[in-house]
Amino acid sequence: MLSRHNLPVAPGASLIAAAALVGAVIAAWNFFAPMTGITGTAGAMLVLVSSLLLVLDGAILNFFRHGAVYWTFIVLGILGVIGTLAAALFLHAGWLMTAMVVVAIGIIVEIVLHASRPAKGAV
Amino acid sequence: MSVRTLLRSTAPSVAFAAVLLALPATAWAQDQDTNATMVPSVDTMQTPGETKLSPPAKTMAPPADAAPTNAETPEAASGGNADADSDAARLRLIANPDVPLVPETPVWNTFHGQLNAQKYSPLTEITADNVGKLEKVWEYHTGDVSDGSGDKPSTVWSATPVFANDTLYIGTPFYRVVALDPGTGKVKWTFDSKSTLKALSQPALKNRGVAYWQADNPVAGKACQKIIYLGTMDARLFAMDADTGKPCENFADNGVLDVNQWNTVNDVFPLSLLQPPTVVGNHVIMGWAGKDWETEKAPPGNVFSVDAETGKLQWSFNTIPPAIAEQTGTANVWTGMSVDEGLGLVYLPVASPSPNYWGGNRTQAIPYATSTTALDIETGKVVWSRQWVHHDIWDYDINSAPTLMDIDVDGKRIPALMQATKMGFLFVVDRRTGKDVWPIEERPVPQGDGTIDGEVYAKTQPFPTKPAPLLDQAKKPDIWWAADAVGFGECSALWDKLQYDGMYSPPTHNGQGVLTYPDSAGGVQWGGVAFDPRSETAVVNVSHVVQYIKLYPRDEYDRLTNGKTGQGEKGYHPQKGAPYGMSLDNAVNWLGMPCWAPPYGELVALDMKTGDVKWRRPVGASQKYGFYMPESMGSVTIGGPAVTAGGLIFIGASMDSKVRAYSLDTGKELWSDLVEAPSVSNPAVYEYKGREYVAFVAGGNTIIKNQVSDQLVVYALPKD
Repeated sequence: MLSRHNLPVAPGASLIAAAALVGAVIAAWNFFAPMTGITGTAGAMLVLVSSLLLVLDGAILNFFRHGAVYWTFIVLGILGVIGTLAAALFLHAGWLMTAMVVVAIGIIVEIVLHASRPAKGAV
Repeated sequence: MSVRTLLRSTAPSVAFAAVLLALPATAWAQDQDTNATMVPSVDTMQTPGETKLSPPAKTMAPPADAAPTNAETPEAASGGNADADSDAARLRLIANPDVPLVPETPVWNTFHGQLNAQKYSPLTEITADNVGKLEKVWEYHTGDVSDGSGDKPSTVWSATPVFANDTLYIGTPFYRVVALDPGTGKVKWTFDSKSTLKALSQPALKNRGVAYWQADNPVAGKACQKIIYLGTMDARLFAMDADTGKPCENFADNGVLDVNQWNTVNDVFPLSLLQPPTVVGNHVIMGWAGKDWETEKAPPGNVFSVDAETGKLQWSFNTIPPAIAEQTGTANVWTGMSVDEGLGLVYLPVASPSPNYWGGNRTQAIPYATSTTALDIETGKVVWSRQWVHHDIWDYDINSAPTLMDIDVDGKRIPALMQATKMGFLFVVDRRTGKDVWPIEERPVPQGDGTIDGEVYAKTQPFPTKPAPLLDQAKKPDIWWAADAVGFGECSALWDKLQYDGMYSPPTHNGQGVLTYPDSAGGVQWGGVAFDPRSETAVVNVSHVVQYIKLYPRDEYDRLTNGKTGQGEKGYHPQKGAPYGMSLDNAVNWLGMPCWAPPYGELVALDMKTGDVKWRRPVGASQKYGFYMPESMGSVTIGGPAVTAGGLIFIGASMDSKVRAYSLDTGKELWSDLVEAPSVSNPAVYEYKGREYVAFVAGGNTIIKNQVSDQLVVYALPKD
């Protein structure tokens, strides 16, 4: 039987990736659809790229669960979500902000579960 | 019995004799309190059915300029006697003295809604209480749009839809006309001028719409009893039947008037007809637009009146004295005019002469430049003129039609006129005479730093005392800390390098140049002032923009630019022929953030009984790269407001591409909607089949944002 510590995917990291993917879709809509108020703007492209990077961040966290790489991508994820959230605020992109809040929750979940996870090599 | 009473009650011959006797005293009295160039003695409010007589009046001289009488007949313009203002000619017969200033029925058939430029609708279906329910009922895309990335220049579409003949008419920046059903947006007909789509004068394909005329008693079934007029960049005026869109064969050359036939002096660009003409009686009155900042010599400003049905020239008016016309140019009328049919006057907002930022070639007086000038509609002769900037070297074109308004000041009913300006000054004068309503003071202004050869400076400039200037220009505006921080002190450094000794600090070669607050982009733009005649409230949107100008001696300019010229309304421009080229830039940091503190744009309501501000508030939101700044910082605006008897102000104009409704009483924002590009025009308010509509053209303008569109969007309340 699988415990939550040896699931094939990490719930927190998966939530990060999934919410960031939703954010990327929203950002793409804002960029490409007419009449969004930010259609075709550099700001809309910026949050599209940053959302995709957060998807990548969540995916990497699923594979690298320990050590310096893990914490590096946790920190990058925190910076990414803060930056994207701030950008979305100034872009008046409410749904993107919501997605980024979920990404932030995913990071918190990931950190909490990681803290409760047995150290590498422990039985 | 006063002179005016005498005029009203005696036969014209007796009145004329009395006027001759009274003239010296009248002129002396006028000398004491006005700078108006010419002051006719017109009755107070008009009496229906009465023939109006104005006696001759003495030519008055503004402090910095002598005032030639250069209203010309076509004969005079072609070399005849320029001084055609004989006393007899000024005994004006006014065709329609009983026409009220404010139309008695809802009208929105001109660029500014009505000929009085009030932009006021008496409609009351949409009110402050229900405007929140306003919904889009139809939209129309003309297809005539370019962002400049292809083979066509960018479009700038600032048309106000014209509602007339139970049809909504729009002109497009590809110089077509579309006639639409006002209730559904269904196309009735289109007209294509097949005009040249090149930036022949202005840097963009611009259009501000169309004009409408109809016969006093239209004959059913006869063509061109109702006519739509469309001007083009290549200086042609098209006339077409308002019912069918077919050219009016009797108008000029099969419906096309070549206005460039009158471009006979310094014809370095065509007389572009981007602003729809002003139509009153059987007159189609038009100025033209040109190319700023490029040449020292340019076509001299002139205004033409042609017959509405035949296109035949009735009169022309030259703004520059013929003796010096060849050494300068422009001082043209490129924006809307206003008309008082009762007084028989058309009011011209006149631009500055060329070149815009150096005046060494035009040290002689050009008193009609940068002025409001009132002409007799029938003759084109000057009745009065007020120059708002003497010896203009800042490109402070008077850029909007003056708004005509009857106001009650100190217990007296005054037929007034408010002229908004780029400087943020609102000049209010009696529209019969040009005399001050509230004092307009000639104040000493900075005299330059000696770095510019050949320049002369006006010793004084006019400053209004009421309403107070919309911008505080006494000192350099405060720096916005955030822009300075992001720029690592870039804004503070720029401020230190900019010269500024207060309003009208002249262009210089020193440092980074002279700070202007504002120059070409700020203050009040061509949307002008709206006016609610019930509450006597004026409403105006004003932009706070800091720019800076520097002049470069020719050798240095050529070395710096290597023959390249800036595009649009900033950067380097050569002023070819003048000893100085120039540059104009916005004061922003490396990221494009404004260096000056917000707000960047405001909506202001003025009580015209007192001249005081009722309320002012930031309007719209600034936007750069898609990022919105807080609405408390406001937005630079281009375009203007409309007001309604429902207690509302409708306006687009802001960078954030939203159209909004505000409470006329409080300034509270009550409704907004997103459109495809900034609505850089005035909205139209009309009633069709018992329903009130509000129409916005969302055309965009690269001056404020790189976003253009071809969208016309119309709103109404939901049907019950």
